[in-house]
Amino acid sequence: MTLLKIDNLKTTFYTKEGDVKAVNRVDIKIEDGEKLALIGETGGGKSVLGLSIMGILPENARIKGKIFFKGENLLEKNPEEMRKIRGRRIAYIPQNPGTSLNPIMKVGQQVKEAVINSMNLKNKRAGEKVLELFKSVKLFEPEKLIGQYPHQLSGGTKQRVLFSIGMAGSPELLIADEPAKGLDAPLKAQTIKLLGKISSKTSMLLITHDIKATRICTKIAVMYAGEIIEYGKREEILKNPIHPYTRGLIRSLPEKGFIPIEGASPSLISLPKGCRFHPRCQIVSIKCKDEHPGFKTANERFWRCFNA
Amino acid sequence: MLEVENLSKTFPSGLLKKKYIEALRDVSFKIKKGETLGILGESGSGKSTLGRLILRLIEPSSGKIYFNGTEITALKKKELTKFRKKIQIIFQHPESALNPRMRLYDSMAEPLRIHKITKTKSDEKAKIRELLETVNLQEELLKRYPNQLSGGQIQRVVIARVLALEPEFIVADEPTSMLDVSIQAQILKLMKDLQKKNGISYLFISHDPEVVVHMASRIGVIKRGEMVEIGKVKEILKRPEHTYTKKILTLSRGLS
Repeated sequence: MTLLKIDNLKTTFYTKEGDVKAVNRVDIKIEDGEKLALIGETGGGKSVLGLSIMGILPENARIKGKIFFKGENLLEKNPEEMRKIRGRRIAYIPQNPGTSLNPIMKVGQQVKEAVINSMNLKNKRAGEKVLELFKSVKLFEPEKLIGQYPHQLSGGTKQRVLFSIGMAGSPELLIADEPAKGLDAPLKAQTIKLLGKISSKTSMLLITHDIKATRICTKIAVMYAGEIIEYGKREEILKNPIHPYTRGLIRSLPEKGFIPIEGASPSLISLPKGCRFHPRCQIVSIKCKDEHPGFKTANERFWRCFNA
Repeated sequence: MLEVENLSKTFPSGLLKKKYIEALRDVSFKIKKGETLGILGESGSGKSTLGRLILRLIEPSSGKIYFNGTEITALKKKELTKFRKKIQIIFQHPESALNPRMRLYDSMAEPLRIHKITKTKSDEKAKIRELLETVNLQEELLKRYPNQLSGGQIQRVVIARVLALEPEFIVADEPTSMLDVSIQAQILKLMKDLQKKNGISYLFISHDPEVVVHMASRIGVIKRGEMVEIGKVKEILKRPEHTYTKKILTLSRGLS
């Protein structure tokens, strides 16, 4: 069964400098129990897509298209209905654990708030649930942790506290935004492994620029300049990337020798005409500069490129 | 070129400054001209303290540092300014390395002015243009403020600023840990190209074994302020002697 189905989603921010087209014509599907990784460079619209699903965009954002969650269009829900979905049925783990927790509130209280809100538990039972959650995300000395403030905790511990808030309502869909960014290499590996473990029974949208972190996912969608440019099964994309941008991303991995993609992502205010990747593309042709490529498809793979 | 002898640093801690934290204990190594020594360690191991000590941004508790035979640790303030032209540092958080209220042109011109490298305004402009070309940035960025740039662009500006002084030695403290993989690859390639062209030596500090292995010819592994192992990259990869080195290598490989 399809859990999440996004149709032709457009999220635009209206700013003094111009319209920022952060998400453009995005179609995505997540089946029940499936884990999809959304990868691509910073500034490509990945996080905005996550926030669009959650319905927590800033005021200057306009959103068009449809987001079906179990057949219901989230964009037609009123704020009260969305509030009941957030945290309980769709949970979000924000990036930057350092700034995502309230600095003047003990962490136990912050997790308890999430538990009370999403599970309708009484205070005492909620306290027990917090301890259970801390144990499930492998936090040591949970009794001591409850009384501590975020600044007393390491980056890895704060990240785990956010995991426990995310899992508090046993959501059907978990959206994790760069869950291991800024952690050192060994800790990153542990954190991703843990995320895979705690989310074993939920569906997930994992937003990351780190291709290695996608190993807990079964599908990959590659995002570039606000668009999905390639989609398919994880192993197939990693083994045989089709789009020149995906190929570039994989070549820049350490084990492939850190070969960079030349140039930089375009500004989302003034996007290039034609294919958005053409100024950086190695197999560019005249057509790419004028026409915008639609999806080609074969064996459940989708990609936007005239020449690949 | 650079020689570090029995370097230690303790920081006072606690309310009455009566407790001490040993951030670095008895660290010694040498770096040759044009060489890259990688420093590998987890967060909080003392890696960054080491980088700061070499530039004398903080004072060592004991030990000596020599640069081309001169004892850095004994230099007076004036001599130190001259010496800092030769040794520069690239920090982990490029956003906080630039003054947010200064346009990039002024940020780039600042080191040229402090060290009196260019004499006239037109010299200054020409030099900045040349530096931008070296790091592959467009000139129109000069009018902008740091918050209008991407992380990769800012790190390039920081590198260009450092290059303005034509340093012989650069301490790179996690220069790519906050960047995307593809941008990371760009910056690492840029640093390697500059090394080939100008014969710069690097002390390359990182928590990421793959990045260190890619950049360095020798690696020193730091655990809780102590250098537990140092040697050629190939040998350390093949036969890590210390259990801590083994642990770091296996844990990070866990993801690939």
